Amino acid sequence: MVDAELRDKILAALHRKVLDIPVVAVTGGKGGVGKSTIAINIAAGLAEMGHKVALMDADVEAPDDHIMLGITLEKPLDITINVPDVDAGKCTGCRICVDICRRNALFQPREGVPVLIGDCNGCEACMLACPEGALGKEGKKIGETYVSERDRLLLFTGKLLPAIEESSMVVSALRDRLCASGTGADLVLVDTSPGIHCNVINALRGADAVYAVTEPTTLGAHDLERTLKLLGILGLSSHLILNFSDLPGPREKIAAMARALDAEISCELPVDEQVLKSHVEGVPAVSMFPDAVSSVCMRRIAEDIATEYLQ
Amino acid sequence: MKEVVIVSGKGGVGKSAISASLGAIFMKNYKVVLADTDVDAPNLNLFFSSRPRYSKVVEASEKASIDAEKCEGCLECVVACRFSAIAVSADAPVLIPYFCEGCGACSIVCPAGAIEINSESNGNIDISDIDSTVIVSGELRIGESSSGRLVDEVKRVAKEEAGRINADLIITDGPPGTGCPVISALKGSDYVIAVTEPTPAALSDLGAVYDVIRHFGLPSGIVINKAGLHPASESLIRDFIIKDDIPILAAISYDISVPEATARTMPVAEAYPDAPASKGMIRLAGAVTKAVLSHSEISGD
Amino acid sequence: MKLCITSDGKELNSSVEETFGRSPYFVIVNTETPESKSVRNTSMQSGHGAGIRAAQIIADEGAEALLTGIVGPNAFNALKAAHIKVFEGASEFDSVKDALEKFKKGMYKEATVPSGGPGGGRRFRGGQW
Repeated sequence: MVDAELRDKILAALHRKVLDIPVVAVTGGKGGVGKSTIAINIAAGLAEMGHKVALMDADVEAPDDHIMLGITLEKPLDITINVPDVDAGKCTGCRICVDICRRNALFQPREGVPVLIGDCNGCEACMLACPEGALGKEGKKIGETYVSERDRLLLFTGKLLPAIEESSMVVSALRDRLCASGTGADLVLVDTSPGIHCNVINALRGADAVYAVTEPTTLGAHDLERTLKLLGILGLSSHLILNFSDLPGPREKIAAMARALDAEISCELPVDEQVLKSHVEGVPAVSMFPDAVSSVCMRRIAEDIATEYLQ
Repeated sequence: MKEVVIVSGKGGVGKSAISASLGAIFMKNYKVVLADTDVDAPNLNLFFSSRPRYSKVVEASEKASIDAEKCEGCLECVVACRFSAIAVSADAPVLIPYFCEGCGACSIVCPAGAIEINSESNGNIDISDIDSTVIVSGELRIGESSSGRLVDEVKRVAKEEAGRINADLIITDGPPGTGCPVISALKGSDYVIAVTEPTPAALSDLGAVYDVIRHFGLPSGIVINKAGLHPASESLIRDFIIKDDIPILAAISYDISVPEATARTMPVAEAYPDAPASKGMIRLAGAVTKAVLSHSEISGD
Repeated sequence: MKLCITSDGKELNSSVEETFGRSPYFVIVNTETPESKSVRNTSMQSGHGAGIRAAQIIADEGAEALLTGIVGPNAFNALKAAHIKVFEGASEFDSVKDALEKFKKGMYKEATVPSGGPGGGRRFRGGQW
């Protein structure tokens, strides 16, 4: 276990920011609880209030924000990793690269040079270890990033290619593109994938505020507990959004969890047909049905964020 | 023995509820192992009142550790790391463990020999029984990584248990998305059930997970869950299926009985057998039987 | 010919192991002489690429053919690169010795394409375990 001093160092490094603008993240342990719905509506709400928002869709295995916003993905850029390319002229057959690869991706036949057979994750350890400099770099595409702009809303989307494992690298590439783009945005809003694994942690880096979304069902309560614990480990304070609040389940348990972790429930959204309709039309509910109960709630969150970070 | 894996791309479309109900239906006539590979959010046990019979810690993660005493502060390791897992703090490298893949690139370039790669525990696997059915469930330790390797281990234990009870079927509840844990969940399986719901987002994610299913050349079928939620999107799903010639195994109605059953710690097919959703689950079980069990070895040899 | 048979033990009387990458031992026999030796499979614990690592071990032992239950595609490609012939379909109900006898009688067919997806070597077939 890491001591307190080291933990502080790690967290400081984890959350170090490149851009000097506020970052707000929307996350949740369980899938389908409405993370994307809430993220796009907060983004649209802030844009309506006159703020320029960069929305980062970091659910790179299932990016849906553009669908819900009715925005076409534009300006694709490839994300590549480097896999080894053996120079037979320089290779002496020492096999250091084969032995050093912890994924056992390289194979040394009895004759000839090592061949790449397994799933290379682009760590480049083999290239660093080769004493002859015989391993060159060959680009392998693992995903794409996109930037689309509509009015005051900039949408940054990351997409992992099928059957590729390195989703966290796509999140990193997406953040790098956002930071390098000089967006002129007033605020970054991050929509993470469900769960608690590395690409979620990567997406939460540097967040000034985190909204954890859940539903009051048994599963929602269970997964929320794990998300809140993760946020605690990462030193992030959180607000809670209870979506589909009229579904049956252990509501008291969620309220108690929130109290115990000092995370208050900032808003409750009922099951709302108008929200579903708005997704199908590709228009945020706050714009399409501004008076719907959910829209009023989500606009209020946007206002809270603006008050806190954009004054 | 056959293994059926349930995936969806999008989260929250009902993978676990379907896995649990399928389990409840199949365990009446077959020997079944249920495997929960959604290690980020393992929920399958929440449908059954069962206590773990056995629990073990899994060491399926490798991480670098930097010895501050030996470190000379050259920062070569920071440059070498392709996973942004080493940052600089007060002119010294600091490992951000969440992103370390344990590849060892940093230890290769370190001139002071200050970096070691060590195995670390990253989760546990619980085994519990409901009568003669076994549930194997993996849980990623919070803040840990390498979920794919934990999934591999869950699948290995599930196969061991299946061998022990001479099971006919392993039902594997998969993780959402298309990344490493999903790939691990699909590996070595016999049949894939792809769950979707009639919303544009779920349809888009169904397409993404199908790219992975096709990549591995696995036979599969689709379940439309929460049917009736939005009829126009349902026709889009049907277009997708026709275009790609994928069978629809069943449509399961949008039904409040599903969360109500879960609140009672039961699969809907068991708690409310006459509910519309339960009837859909039974049709699904029938289609799965036909697809994977009917002409297999379970009847005799 | 030097033939490698996957096994759960070191002896000719040990049972055949049906998966290649996760086989505890490799028994290497000479099909023309009574000569045999066994090698422990150190790749068993590998998180990734156990099949490729296992292929490396038997290639280094100079095996010219492999007899096992089933081989995944990564291991298959590695064995192909090393010109090691692959024979699948051996059963754990046979001892290494029985499997060798059946092999000599030509009862196993040479595999020309890999049988399963990645990790497919860990798949179990036909209700057998």
